Amino acid sequence: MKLLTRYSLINLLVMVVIFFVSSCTLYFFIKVILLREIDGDLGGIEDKIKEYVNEYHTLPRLYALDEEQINFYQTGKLQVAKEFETVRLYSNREKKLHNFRKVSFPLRFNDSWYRVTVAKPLEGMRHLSHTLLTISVLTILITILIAIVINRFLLKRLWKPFYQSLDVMRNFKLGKTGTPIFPTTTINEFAFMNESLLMATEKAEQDYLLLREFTENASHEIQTPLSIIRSKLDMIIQEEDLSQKQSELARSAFTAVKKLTRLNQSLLLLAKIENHQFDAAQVINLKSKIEEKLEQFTELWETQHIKAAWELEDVTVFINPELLDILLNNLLSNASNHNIPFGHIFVKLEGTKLVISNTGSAGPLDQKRLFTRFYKQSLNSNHNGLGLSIVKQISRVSLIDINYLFANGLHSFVLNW
Amino acid sequence: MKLLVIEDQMELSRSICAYLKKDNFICEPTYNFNDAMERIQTKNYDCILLDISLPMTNGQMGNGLQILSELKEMGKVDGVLIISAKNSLNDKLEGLNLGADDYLSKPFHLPELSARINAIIRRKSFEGKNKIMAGDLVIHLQDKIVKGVKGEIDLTRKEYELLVYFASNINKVVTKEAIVEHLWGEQIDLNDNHDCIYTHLKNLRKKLVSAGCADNIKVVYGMGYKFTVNEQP
Repeated sequence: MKLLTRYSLINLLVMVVIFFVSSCTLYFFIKVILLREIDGDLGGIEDKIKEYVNEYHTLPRLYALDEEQINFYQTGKLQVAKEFETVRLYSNREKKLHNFRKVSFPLRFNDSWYRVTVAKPLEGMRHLSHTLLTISVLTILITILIAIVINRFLLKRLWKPFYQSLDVMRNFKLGKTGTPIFPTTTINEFAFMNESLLMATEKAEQDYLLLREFTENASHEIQTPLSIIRSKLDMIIQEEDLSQKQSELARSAFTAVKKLTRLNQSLLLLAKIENHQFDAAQVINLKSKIEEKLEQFTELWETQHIKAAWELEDVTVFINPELLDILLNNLLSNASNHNIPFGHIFVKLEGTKLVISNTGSAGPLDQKRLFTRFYKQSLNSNHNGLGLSIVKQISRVSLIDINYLFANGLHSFVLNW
Repeated sequence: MKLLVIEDQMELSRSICAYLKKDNFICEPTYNFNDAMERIQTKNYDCILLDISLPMTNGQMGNGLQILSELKEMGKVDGVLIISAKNSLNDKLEGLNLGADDYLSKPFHLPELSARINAIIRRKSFEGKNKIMAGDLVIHLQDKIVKGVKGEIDLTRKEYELLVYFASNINKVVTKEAIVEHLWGEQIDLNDNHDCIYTHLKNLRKKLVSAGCADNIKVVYGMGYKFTVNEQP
């Protein structure tokens, strides 16, 4: 859920609650205040009646025109003190039942106790309270609506730098886009955030570049001692009187140097690809390139008793020629190295799709880890586990979609241009 | 034949010189840029081995490609083989454009180096040299024909390449790896499977023997092969 949506939702919820509570409270207060007002009026009438009785020693005359309905009942003895209540009475004026506020109080007159009731219609008060309530509710409602709308627009505006920064971060790629440019903002928090993000990305970028540089330099530096070791080994085996044991030692050393050389060259290649040193692409006839490769490999496959079949359409692609060469070498080497004796290799080039399939181990390979560096199927494998990660890197920089499939005992690599 | 080895790694330079010495090469090692510049101006060489990154006497790094430009400017025709740890296509192309004859990236096999140097020298020298005599074999490089005692021997391309490679490393032990790299290039990962050279070698030996030549390619146990030719006085 978006921050703004969430905020708006909470805001709306709170506003609705406030609206309810305030409306109810308002209604209640209006009612109470108006009642008190009427009760005050009724009290006034009571006082007037009492004064009148004291002065003239007679009950006041009642006018039919009066709004108030006053009644006197002789009770003979003192009754409960004054009390207010709301009752439904017949209104003479409107000829129907209405709500009335009624006060009843005891009155001593002519040595006798009377109970006086004065009732005042609540009709006017009802209208008044309704009007007041409607106005108030409308005001609150309009205020809430305006608040929500303002919040929405204002918040959107206020949070804009945040979302812009978020966008910048999303588009940021290590070693690709350079230092990100954040929008300038006058809000301290956002400015601080941008500053922190900038520092973090700059540091990451710097570390990444250093690491890349280090990998490349280290690989270069390793080449020299490697070439010295290899040359010394080449010299040792020229000795006339080498014993069998010495030969074997030299042999092992040769193998190890070769592995180290390959490993180092693979790492260097990966570093170079990541450093965009193979950016120059050109249009290449993929069909003839593959045919050329197949010719080289066929001979090797014959000695391994591997049967190869291919079906190639005339396809041209846009790629760096060096990378294409490495890509095909790695994929085809892979297809033969992981094959079984008397196995098969199929190459199919169709439209923008190249499929290289081979027989091999019975089960599928680990999809997730297949293209990661140093992935090996078995621990004591002869491979350095970089071949496929190089393939993956090349595919990435050349915008080729590469996938691995396992079906009918065939391991297939599918490349889509 | 005179060879200038411009390589700052003294140990590597010593191995190179020791390996090539037996092939009647006279190697002059030099370890820095300034010395190399001086030498190419005063002497002529059949081939120059040139490392691209070279220290100068003032402690900075010099660029071997500058030596190439200097050679070109002087109009010298010395063969140049660049040996570099960089293995970058740009350096390679630039070097070849500046007149270098070949490019070999480190780490290399010494037999490969020898084969490349021999190829450069053969290409550079004009008359009479476009054939190699190795024992009772004659290899005509121009026409890619091999002649034995009984006449022409019909070889496949790989067998021919193999023979030329051996001829550049006479009386030297050459490992299977070096042969594989020479014939198929480094890029193809053979998974330490050297059966493929075995087939080619077997056929080559069979053909040479049936052409009446001595079986000069010897197996060095566990190591590789050696093409022996008895030097005739």
